[in-house]
Amino acid sequence: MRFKRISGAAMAAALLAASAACVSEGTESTSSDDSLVGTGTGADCEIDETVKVGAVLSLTEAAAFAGGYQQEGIQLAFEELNAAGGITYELIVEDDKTSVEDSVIAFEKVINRDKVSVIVGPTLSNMAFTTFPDAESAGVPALGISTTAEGIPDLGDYIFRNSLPEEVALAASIPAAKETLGIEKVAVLYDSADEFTASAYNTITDVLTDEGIEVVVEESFETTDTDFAAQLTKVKERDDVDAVILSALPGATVPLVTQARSLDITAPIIGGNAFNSPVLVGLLADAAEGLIVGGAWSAASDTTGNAEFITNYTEKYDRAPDQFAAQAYTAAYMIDQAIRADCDANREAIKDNLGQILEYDSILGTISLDESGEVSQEPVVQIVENGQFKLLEG
Amino acid sequence: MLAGYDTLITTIALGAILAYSFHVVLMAGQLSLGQAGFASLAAYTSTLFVPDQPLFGSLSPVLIGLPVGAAVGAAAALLLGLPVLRLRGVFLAIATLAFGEMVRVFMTNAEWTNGALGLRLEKWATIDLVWLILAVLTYLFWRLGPSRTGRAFAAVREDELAAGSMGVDVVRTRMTSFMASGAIAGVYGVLFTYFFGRITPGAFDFSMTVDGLVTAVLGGYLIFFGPLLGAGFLTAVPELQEALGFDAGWIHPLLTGVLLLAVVLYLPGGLSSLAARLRPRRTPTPPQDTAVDDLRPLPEPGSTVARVRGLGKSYGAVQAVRDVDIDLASGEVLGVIGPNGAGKTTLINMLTGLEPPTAGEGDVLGVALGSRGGAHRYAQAGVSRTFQHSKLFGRLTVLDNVLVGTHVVSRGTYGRRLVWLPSARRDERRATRLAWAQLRRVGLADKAGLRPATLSYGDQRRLEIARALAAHPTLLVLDEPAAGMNHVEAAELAELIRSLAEDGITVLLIEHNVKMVVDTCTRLVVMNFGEVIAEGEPREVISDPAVIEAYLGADETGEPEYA
Repeated sequence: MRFKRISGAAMAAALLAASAACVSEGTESTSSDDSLVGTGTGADCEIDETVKVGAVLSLTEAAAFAGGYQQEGIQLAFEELNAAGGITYELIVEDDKTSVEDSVIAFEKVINRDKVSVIVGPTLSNMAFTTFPDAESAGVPALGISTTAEGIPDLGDYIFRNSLPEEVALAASIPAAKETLGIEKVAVLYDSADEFTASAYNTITDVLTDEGIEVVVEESFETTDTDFAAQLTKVKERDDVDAVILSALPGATVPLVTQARSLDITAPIIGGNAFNSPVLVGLLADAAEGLIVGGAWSAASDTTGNAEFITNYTEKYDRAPDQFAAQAYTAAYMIDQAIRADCDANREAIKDNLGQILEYDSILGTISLDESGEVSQEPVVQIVENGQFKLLEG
Repeated sequence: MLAGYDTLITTIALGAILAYSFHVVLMAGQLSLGQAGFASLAAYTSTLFVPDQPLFGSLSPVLIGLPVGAAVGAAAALLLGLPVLRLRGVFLAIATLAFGEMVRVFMTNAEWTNGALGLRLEKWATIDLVWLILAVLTYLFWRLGPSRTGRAFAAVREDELAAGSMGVDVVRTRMTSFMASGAIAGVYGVLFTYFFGRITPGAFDFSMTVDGLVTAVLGGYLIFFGPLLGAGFLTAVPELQEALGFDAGWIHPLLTGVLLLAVVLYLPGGLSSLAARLRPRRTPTPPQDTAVDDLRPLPEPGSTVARVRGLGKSYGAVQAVRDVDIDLASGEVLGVIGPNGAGKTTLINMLTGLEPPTAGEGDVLGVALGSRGGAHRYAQAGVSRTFQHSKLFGRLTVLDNVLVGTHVVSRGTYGRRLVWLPSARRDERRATRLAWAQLRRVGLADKAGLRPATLSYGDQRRLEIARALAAHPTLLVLDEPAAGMNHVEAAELAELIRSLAEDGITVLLIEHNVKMVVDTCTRLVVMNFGEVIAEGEPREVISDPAVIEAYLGADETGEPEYA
């Protein structure tokens, strides 16, 4: 009797083991729902069913500095769109706690349980590299709003981003700085432990080679470092450094720039997307003066609707928007565009039409998405003067 | 029903697997935090081996990666353990933490790992596979508990000195737990990597270590399903909060933190101890027949048990023991008395292998004094001891304390328990019978299910004797067994010692209760300032004027107080 019971259990365990070790070639069927197809086209499009949009953002932990603005930006946009009528959106915001696991869990939730039509986010490229393939295999279009690392659009047909890649932002800020300031020799400081900054570093070296600028100091550090005396002393020892190019996350940027200024390194500091935040400038206070920032959006730009966006945002949230808010805001309008194109809010239709957005006039300026998922947009280069971002007129 | 929750459910299993790699070291009392390093090494190495096509058409290629990961993790643990395992507590924690950080920095800067950008991989680890691995691990730990190896782990955790004196090879047990931790961490690293389809050095960071440790401690490391409960709890709480509608950013971590604090404060044994408490406590039932007939016979009366010459121990300039000769014959009850600080305990620590002598030579039951390996070698040769201050295994029951004592006279049962061989059950029953026999011998049979802390002082000393007896010793060393006992208890103890001697056990007794020493010993050694000042028949020795002056003291008439 005992023997029977044990061998039965062993058999069951063996069967379970055999089946668990298998990998199934899952084929997702993309079903389309007729109730998500409306009548009319473009501005007249009307869809009865509520269109669900998932937003997976880093609202807490390390990247909350960005996620908070993104949430506000996208909420503002969908409120405006719902007020405009025709299509009713339901925005489902999930916090990924700046962790890969939670990001995957959040994607699974919005894809499989909420059954959203399209996903906005995640905040960091780090998470996108893991979650976008999930969206791709589930056949859900995903629009990145701050995932600027190299290779993101290559993750699949359903993957898009409206965030200017770091290489384009830097590629614009370095030549602009060269032109206005006459830079010949630079120091490059970068965070080698973060994929975003490490990827930006590759871009920096390429652009510098193209521009014929000589790198005289090249130093790396780690994301969590707080003391940069060793690296900065090397910069200080060379008195022929015309500019310092920095690829760092906000956490390291603040102490690094402050320490550089207190070591009397007066050369202008050039950075990319991560610099583009009024909070950063506020934290740096006087040390921010002369910072040159390449980015996708500027409060100083007179793009369509920009002034109105800044006013509404400031009124609603009691703080000025930054680039993260602006890109999130734009994402909602781009999704609206894509749905209205065929008046169809099914996943397939949104995917097809997101890739066709051509020269859409947004607060970021004229913006286009192509089928590969990459954004094309004119970058803006700004300089910090008297605590304010100003466009650097090249 | 569970569609759409796959990742969440898999995260529970992954969390539990990571927690098991902490569980296994905590079980053996080691605070090792190198798991993230082992996991990282194992995961990166496995990416070199895992094929990019399913095996035989449909088997997950991770099946190749898992053994590779386990082997790499265990090997890394071995190499790291050789230098760092001599450290204890927080020092071990820091050293292993530094190792994890080292691996992370290495992986960030190595070429083949693609640095901080990491590598993209296929998502080969499915929810079923991850849960299967967890089931296997849970099974391994379930079977480990009441086995000889499991008891050795618990003994080392509770008290390394006592464990060694009971014949447990402490160094090896610690290394075993350390390597098992490395292997499990390696398996975790591989599963984690292939479940999320991506590997970056940053994933194996300090927060992974903290997550694993918190899960293991929260779940409890005294019971095999602790990690499972811990992982379930930590995943379920935030989800429940969300379901109940508390989704303001800061409430989540706050509430989780408060619950964590409550568990740590009010359930030091973790959540699993709560589950164990809900189950009605079973008082162990004594077996009818406690006879164990296959124990090796004790040596013939009169044969040499120990013979040492010129034994000495100095701590720097302090000579604790100098030039002591001792001969001990089978069947003797040798008493050692002397004032506090006379070097009695140092002497028996040398004789039982706890401290190496700095001078002299000799052997105890064939083990040369000062030989490498430590106390367990003496215990395996047949030396068993108690301590001046009871060193009982606090979180084990009275019966389990005594079961640890059977270590040297039992065969390892873990491997056979895994495959349910009937011989393992027979061996466990034999050990249990042996343990019960000792409890009866010292009169603690009715307290078998209690914790040592709930026993009276005298009972604790008797329990220590029972534990030492369970090893079926040739030589029993008792360090002040009657300290703190009242007259009645001391008389019972003297009676017990005499009966042990009648059974053929050689006894070495340190005691301040002179009456008891005189009543029980066949020979007496008196020590003062590290030297033997008198030796011989007990009544003669205590009448020796030198002894009276040094130790016993005389009343005003010059008559000795004792005798």
